[in-house]
Amino acid sequence: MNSQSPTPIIEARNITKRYGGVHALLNANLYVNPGECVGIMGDNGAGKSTMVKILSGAQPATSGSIHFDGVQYDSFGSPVEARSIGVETVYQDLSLADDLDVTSNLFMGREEYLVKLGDLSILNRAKMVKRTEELLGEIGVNVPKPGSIVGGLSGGQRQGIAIARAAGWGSKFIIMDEPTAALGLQETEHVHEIIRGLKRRGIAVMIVSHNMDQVMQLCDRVYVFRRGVIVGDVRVAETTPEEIIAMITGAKQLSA
Amino acid sequence: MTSVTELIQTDQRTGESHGFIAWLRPKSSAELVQRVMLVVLVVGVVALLIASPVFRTPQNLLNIIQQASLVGIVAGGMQFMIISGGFDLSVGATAAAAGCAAAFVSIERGLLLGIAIGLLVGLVAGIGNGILIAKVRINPFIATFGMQAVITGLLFVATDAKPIAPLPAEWRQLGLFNISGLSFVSIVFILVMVLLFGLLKFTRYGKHVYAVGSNSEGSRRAGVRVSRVLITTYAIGGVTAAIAGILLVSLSGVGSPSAGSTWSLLAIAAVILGGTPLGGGVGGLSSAVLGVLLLTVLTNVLTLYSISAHWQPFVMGLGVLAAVSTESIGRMRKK
Repeated sequence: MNSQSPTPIIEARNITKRYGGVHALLNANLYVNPGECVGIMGDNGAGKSTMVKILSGAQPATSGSIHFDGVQYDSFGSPVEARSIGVETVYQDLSLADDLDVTSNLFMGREEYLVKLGDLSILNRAKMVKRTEELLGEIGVNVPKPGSIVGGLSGGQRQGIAIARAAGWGSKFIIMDEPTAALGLQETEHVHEIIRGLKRRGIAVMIVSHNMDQVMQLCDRVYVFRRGVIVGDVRVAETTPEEIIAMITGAKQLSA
Repeated sequence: MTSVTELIQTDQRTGESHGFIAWLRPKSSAELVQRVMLVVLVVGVVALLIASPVFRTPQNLLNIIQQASLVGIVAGGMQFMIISGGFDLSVGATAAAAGCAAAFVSIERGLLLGIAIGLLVGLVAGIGNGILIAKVRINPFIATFGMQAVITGLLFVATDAKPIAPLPAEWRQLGLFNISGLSFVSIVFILVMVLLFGLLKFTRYGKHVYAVGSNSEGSRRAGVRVSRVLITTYAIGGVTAAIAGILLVSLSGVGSPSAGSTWSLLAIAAVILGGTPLGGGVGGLSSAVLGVLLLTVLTNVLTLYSISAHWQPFVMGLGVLAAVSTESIGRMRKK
């Protein structure tokens, strides 16, 4: 990372989320720079998922603001709206249509057309297949062919397709929820390689993970959540797994 | 079954083969069912063409198409609803209501307005189902079962359970109209199928029907307007049911409130026999056409050989169970 601080692509300021009288998040501040990979760690119920939902547009914050690419938002109205400005989310369940082929999944909701007529628009299958091959090549996902049914592919390939779907449309910030939770060692390494590729392309990545090795390998910085508060913002190069675990459990507090 | 599973796996590994060899290696158990059923139909029809002089008369063959037409149109709509992850038990009731409405209106206001009102009845019933399923989030079984009861109840109260007759002579003319033996009903069947095929195969809406049926939450996250897709799908189901109901009036010459009572299950059976499992995300219009032809040829054979018509549901039931079992076993082996 550069020593001079670049402009963050996304910055969440004073995000608070209350459900009734209980806060799920309290005055949370975080940012991610272009090409940076940031880890989100914390125990269950620490506020990680709430932060992800707010950043992905699934839920509005009670108060606070999000600055994305130089524009200030109170909230992203919906995941679709967040996507349209360049914020993508790769869900833990991947949200793929298992009965459909690779191309259909990559282009779901963003199909290319021969004739544009609303719901009756005629699909341009050839163009989408061609772009699928290019995109999978760029991202480094190996699948047999664009026409393969997604349900028949391996966990690593499916994760790769979900990431390619997020990365393929000029997105600037990608949130990944437990990207390798269901994968074996080799497949995990493959997905890590894909994520490093995204960083090299200048995409900001946020990884929610319980996997300390993964965070230490992939991330530049880690935010530690505890009881709805961000209790740590540490550079991976300057910390140890033990220190992070101490922050997660509350044995050690470090000012952000 | 082992060999079947091996075939499936081989195909996924190599991925590439095309043509006849590829055709012999279905990618899924659903495709396997479809191909077996297609072979059964083709072999059966060829055998009958050779064996039965009555079967091969043009008159009988046209008759088969005519008989396949009404349930065929309903099954076309059903195919969409099943791909979207649901089905519709109210299509028979909708067909009867549309037919009765068309018959009733035609007496005073003429055939054209009658048909228009009949189609509108189908559209409204379908949109009603769609809203119950997509917005109120009722399971399709309960939603369409309830809708079926509501429509049938209303219809019997409104008609006093009596057929609507006599009807204007244009109905009869419509029923008798044909192009070199191909009846009006069959012409409409073919047109509706071509239209539905194009809609499902080439349009964004068609692609989204598959997406919603395969993973509705994932589709929603990807920007597919799930409610809109579902409501459109059930609207298409309602309108196809109405078309069949109106065509039945042109054949029978009366608007009958008890018409089409077996159509919902026949249409679902046809789609399943044609190789589309319930559950959504997979299948194609060829399933509906194949299944309906199988059922119609079966009925025709029983008639030709003077076998009790009660064997029809028996054979249909066996076929449905065989199809569903094959798909279920295929899925288990895959995991």
